[in-house]
Amino acid sequence: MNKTKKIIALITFVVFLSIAGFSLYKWIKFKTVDAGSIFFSFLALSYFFNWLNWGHHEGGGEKDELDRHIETQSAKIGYYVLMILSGLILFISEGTGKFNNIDNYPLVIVVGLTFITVPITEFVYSKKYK
Amino acid sequence: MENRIKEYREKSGLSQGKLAEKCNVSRQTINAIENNKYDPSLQLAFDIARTLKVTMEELFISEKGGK
Repeated sequence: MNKTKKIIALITFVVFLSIAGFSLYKWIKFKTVDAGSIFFSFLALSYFFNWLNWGHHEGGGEKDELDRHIETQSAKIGYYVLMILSGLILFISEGTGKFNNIDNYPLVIVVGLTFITVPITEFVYSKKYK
Repeated sequence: MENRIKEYREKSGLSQGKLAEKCNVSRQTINAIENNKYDPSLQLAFDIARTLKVTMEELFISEKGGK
């Protein structure tokens, strides 16, 4: 990674810290949570990791076959990490481990969707080869 | 799958970077293949064999019994 790319990566991390820090400050000081700042802090963090790894804020750029292999494997691992995280967020935010006591149905649907997304995608994609 | 890319590359007097350049991949890709961390695609395997002027059988060692 050359010097310019390192500086840009550092800037994106500073942007992330600023937005996340501001959100945290507002939450602690005024007990208010701003969805916009949460969203944009995650976006800045994604830009930071994409710059670190690929040298491109959206993860694009020229890639050879090892890069594509890394992308494919990371997508699979990332999917299962997201599945676990969504389940954790559901149970932590609802403060219960019992399904009957959960009221956040949209989040339950999201957790459910994480179970069926890959099997359905694999089923549809396999039709291309069968 | 094990391979003898490093051995043939050094015999040819090529660096990892030079071999990578001739095969249109990054040096990291050649390094990962040499260290058996990544199995190359069929196309890349042919490109490497052609560049090193050896056959695929000479270059790659199948885990199912010898060459």
